[in-house]
Amino acid sequence: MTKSYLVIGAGAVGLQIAQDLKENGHEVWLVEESTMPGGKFNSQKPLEPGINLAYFSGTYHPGDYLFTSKAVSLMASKRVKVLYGSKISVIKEEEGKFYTEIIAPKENYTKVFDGVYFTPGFIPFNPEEKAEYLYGINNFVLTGLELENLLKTGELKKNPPEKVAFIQCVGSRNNGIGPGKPYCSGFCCLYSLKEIDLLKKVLPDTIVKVFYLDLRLYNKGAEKLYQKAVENNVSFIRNMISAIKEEPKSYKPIIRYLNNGRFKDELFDLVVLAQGAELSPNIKTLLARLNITENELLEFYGTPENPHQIRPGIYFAGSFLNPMDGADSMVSAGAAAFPQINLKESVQSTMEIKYFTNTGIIFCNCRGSLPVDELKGTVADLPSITISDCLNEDELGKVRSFLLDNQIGKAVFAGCSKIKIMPGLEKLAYEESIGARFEVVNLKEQGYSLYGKEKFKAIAQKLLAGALARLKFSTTPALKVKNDITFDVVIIGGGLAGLKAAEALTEKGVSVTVVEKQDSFGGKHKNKVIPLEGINLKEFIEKIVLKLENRGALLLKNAEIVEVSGAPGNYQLIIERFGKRLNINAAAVILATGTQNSYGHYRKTSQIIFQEDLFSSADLLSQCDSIGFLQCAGSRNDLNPICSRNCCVSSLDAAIYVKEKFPEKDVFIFHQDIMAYGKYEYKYLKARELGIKFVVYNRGQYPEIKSIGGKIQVVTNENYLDDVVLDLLVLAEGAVPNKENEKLAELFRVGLDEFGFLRESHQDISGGYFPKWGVFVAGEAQGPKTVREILSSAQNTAKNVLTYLNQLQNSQLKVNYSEVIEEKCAACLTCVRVCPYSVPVVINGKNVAYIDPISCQGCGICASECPNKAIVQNNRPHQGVLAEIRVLAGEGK
Amino acid sequence: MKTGYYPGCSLHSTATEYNESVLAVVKAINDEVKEIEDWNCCGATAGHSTSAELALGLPLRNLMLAEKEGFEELLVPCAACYNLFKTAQFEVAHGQKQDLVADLEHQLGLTYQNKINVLNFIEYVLKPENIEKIKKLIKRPLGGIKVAAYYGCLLLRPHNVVGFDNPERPTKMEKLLEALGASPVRWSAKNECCGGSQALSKPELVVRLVNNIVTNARDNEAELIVTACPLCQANLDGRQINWDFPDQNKQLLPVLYISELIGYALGLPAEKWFAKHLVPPSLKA
Repeated sequence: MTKSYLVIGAGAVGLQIAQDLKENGHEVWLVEESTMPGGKFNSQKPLEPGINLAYFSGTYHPGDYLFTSKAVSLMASKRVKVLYGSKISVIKEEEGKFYTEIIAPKENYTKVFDGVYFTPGFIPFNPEEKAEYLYGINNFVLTGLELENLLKTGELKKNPPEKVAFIQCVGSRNNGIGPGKPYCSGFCCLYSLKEIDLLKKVLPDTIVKVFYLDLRLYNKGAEKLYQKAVENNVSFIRNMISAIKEEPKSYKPIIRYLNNGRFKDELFDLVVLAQGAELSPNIKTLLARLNITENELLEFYGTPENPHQIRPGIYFAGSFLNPMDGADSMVSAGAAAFPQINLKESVQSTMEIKYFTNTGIIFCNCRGSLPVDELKGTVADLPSITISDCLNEDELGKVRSFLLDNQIGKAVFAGCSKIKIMPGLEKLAYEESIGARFEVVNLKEQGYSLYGKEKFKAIAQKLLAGALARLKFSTTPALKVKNDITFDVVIIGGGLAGLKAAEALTEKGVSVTVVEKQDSFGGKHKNKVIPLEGINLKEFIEKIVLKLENRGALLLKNAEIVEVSGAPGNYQLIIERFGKRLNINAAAVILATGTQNSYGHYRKTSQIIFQEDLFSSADLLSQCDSIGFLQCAGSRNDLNPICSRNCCVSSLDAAIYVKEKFPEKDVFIFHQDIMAYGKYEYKYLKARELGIKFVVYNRGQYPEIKSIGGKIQVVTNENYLDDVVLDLLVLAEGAVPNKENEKLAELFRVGLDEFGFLRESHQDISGGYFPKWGVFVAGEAQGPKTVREILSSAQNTAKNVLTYLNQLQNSQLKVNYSEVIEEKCAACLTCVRVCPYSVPVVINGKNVAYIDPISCQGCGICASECPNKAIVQNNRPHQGVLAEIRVLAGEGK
Repeated sequence: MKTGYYPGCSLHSTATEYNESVLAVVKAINDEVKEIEDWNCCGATAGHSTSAELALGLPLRNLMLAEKEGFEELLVPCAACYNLFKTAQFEVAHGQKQDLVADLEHQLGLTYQNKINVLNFIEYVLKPENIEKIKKLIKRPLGGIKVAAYYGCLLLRPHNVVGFDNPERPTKMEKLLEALGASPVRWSAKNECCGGSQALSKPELVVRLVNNIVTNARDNEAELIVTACPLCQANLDGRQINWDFPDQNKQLLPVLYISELIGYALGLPAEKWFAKHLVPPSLKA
């Protein structure tokens, strides 16, 4: 059933949710306070690893491209309303409906919605509130963003600082009096590392010291940055800085910290503060109108089944739900949208496509920054229109009427980049059933920015003429339908992620096969009875298996995948089971192979056990008076450098469980950095309140463990603490990539990252997609995760699969695909080998290659590689490119 | 407005110049304060370090007596007394102390409403009507003399209890100094620890702490330090001339009560107050 949703905040998460809801036929209103989409990705360029190109690129960066493109194609749809610079002034809940009033720049609206998604992200903590850091008074104290700006403008290079200090957790992890939030803001450690990386690139000789509480580098990209920082001689000092003092007269900042048990006052040239995350006051007001207090939100954890829904119809996602980095935000977006995404009934084409014959030009002056008016009528005598802003519904509406009124079937868009505008234009034409083809000329970046005002006209005219020449040869878009699809989804791996994804998909009516190599389901979590993140995993997994059996899912134990053939939409898998081979067809495959345990250099004894043993039997706990947990036993070491994420949360949960049941027992946790990021910090706080003792050891310097007289002795290096004597020591095993990953990567032709995990198309913003169509990843196969993160990831992947199935079965107006000219094809397999999406297949019997137009992503690699030029890329045929080159080279003039 | 006055033990003994200068300033601006009758110890140091009940009971008796006399506000110049009074009020308001209050009411035959506005001397002077009068009455403008305003701890912390100025970056005394025509210096030690009552048990520690504070003031070109706490004044003034003071060759800095400096600016006979200081103030009469 189609419903209407309000999405508050057009950042990465809001845009993704809006897109998913819209694609599924829902009406969406996206309300954004600022004037641009993209949120933090847009404004704070190098916030996340991966979008590093932003560092030195000035005005353009992929974040901007990606989110403008997403926003334009949303706005091109009539089912979507995107309001920038707008605010919700009233929101009222009555019998499951949400009555709102929205104040937008031009007009105010009253509107009723069926559900509300809160995705406003966060605002940075104002460091002025922490007066002890002198921010706003002392010019040598900056925020990370200000430092970045000084680096970009080159200011810092003119007057390079010799020594720079970074202070972490400014406004976060504050559980005492004074300003700041108790939770961990999750991304600031990573963020500071990026700033340091940038600083060291510009000024390699700068001495950098980082003052931190715990270095929460839990994501796999962060570890790389950390290693690099260590190589660059960055010092990391675990110390809470209580105040910044000033050197008399020069006012340079002095930081006092503990150095080998003694105070040290050190002078710095610059101090950079890592601001934490806060809720925007406007959002707090909105929540209050829905009777949700700030504390309720901060403590909101959701149920395992519904981690994003606080009440029916009210959803939280992204870093608003829990401070998190970009990668986790995108997963959260997908998981939050999942409940509203359904498998659509197959809507094969009944659409009549209008094919117009006129050619026109759409100019965009990009909010008045491009002098496009001087080009009008100078290149060709064609109907034209000038819009001023692609992120404006009314302007896009003008394009719509321009196409219809002038019966335009071919158009050149002259403004900014193709990446930003093309998906939106195609969407717009599709909604009007116009079979139009477009070419885009990037007057801004390839003209104005590059050549300046004086040369702009001449250059722009040439570019425009070239595009018009190219346009003559591009092919008309055609309605394409994919035949021969099966709707089965095969999930490889029957652990928590695989089962959860299967549960989610079967709930929506997709038939699922789960292939598990071992002789039981549930993977490494299957025996855990002590609640982990509030879940008795043994029961949880048993329940899912039962549900799947009832829903008729095919659950194959002791089964292994041995061969894969076919293409997206119709994979043929061969599964081997007890020596027998089984053929299964699948539209999509989810790789959910999880991780394997890593035990480092440790061995089990009767008194030294691993977390999995502890969680599997509550009896162990009652038999001992003192218990210790050794963190990072199998991770963050020479064998396995990255953080396994789940182990700190597990130990905290187990320790709290023990201490609550048996308050008299002594509980110790020996750790490097407690990875209680985001809201997990509350667990850490609770553990400390309960009297659990935390003992730090330095990275790579594991405490010595001795077995003496039936007890375990842990030798600590802390001068305040004697050696600890324990009855039971629990080692936190780490997670390493599954050995199967290599084989799977080869079978399904997906990539592996440098650690051996399956590589997504983009670590931060892909939200669980591979570049390849039809193959998906869920859970820890992509990288270590906590239990809740695994569940979220599985739900997100289920959403991705549903979206994909819906795209597959519905007709699409495709122009951006490659086609094989059968007469020229020699079936040499070049296209089959080069296609990054594995789309081309050689049709049996016919001996020619076939490229499925629905699956084709239109990259054109096959067309340029084909030795016999037997492949045409429809939106950019060879003749068109040649014609354009001739114009640009000045031929024929 | 009926204002009560609570001097406490210091202002009647080691800090008589603080007492005299405060009262002289009050008189000069034509205001009136009346000492609470039969006041007792505020509960500081000896009291609060031995008994939690005394720490509340002693200041509460004073506050009850003040209410009995009908004072709406109470001027408490000593920072320690001020802190104890504020703490007692805070505990009564937020700390479930009904039993203690009832007990005291019964024993003393008084009632208590916890409504008196307790002011330290800086707050008192910064009241708009008072500061305006002071500005008009200035007879000896301070001519831009560089002054380091030293707050110590008791006036500022715990912030949620005393609620006076930003504990990390206080500025109220600076505002006052500017009104008097002095130039407050920008310095980093204004809320550093003076050593407090460790002066008796660990004098060497206090010498080091005082040295840090005074050196920082001097390096920021301060000519004198002002404070509003008898213990801070005693430590900062007294420990500078200690025999093992590491910085003997440097010029010593006079340490005045803020009230003395105001009195001096108002042309009051400050010299007799200054005579009690170990580092003689260099201000010319």
